Amino acid sequence: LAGEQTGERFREFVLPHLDDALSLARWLTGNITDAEDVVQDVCIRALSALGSQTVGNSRAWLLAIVRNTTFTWLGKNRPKALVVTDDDRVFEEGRSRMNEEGQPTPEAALIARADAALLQDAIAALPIAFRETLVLREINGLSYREIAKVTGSPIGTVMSRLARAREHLMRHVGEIQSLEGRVT
Amino acid sequence: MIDNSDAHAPPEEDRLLLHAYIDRELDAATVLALERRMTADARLKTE
Repeated sequence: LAGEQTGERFREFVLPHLDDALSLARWLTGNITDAEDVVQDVCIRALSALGSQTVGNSRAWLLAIVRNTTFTWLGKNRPKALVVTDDDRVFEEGRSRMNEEGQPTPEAALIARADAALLQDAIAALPIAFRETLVLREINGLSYREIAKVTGSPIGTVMSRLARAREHLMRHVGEIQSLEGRVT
Repeated sequence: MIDNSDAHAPPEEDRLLLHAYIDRELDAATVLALERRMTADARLKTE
């Protein structure tokens, strides 16, 4: 009977938000294969938690599990990706490193690149703390309060990260577009 | 670090408020106060 109830709660609280869960995991891990692995772990954790926890906002609850599971996964598989900071210098250092590590030059990368891909790359280049806040807002459509709950951060931090993520994004896209203008 | 030396850029707190305003995340009283300030401050409105 308890198993049946948990199954019912899983259908009610988890299944409706699986697309959001996969989307967040994909943005945080950077690819769909890893995201699917993470979401599989998320389902197991959620199922286990449903037996003992009361769920209020099921979407925020599930996305918090996604976030924590992804961070655990990244810590195990890609610890370098897990630099959680609000320091803008980390963003700039990360971008410099991308070029040093043999990434395509901006000129080469721009050839035949659609705007959507450009934006996707710009989001992917954000440090994880900025990226998760931006994705939770712009892609998952969460309110500031929900983002604060999911990330365990004060609302002021959410506001600051979101504003800075957008500014980084605009600057990054602007730089590439101006470069594109010179190249084409 | 965010460069606050630009005299044309609004202070950090105003920038955060503007983002929250666009996201419709501010309470009614803060919206009114911000709109009043934007009416009086062209630079804030432009931002």
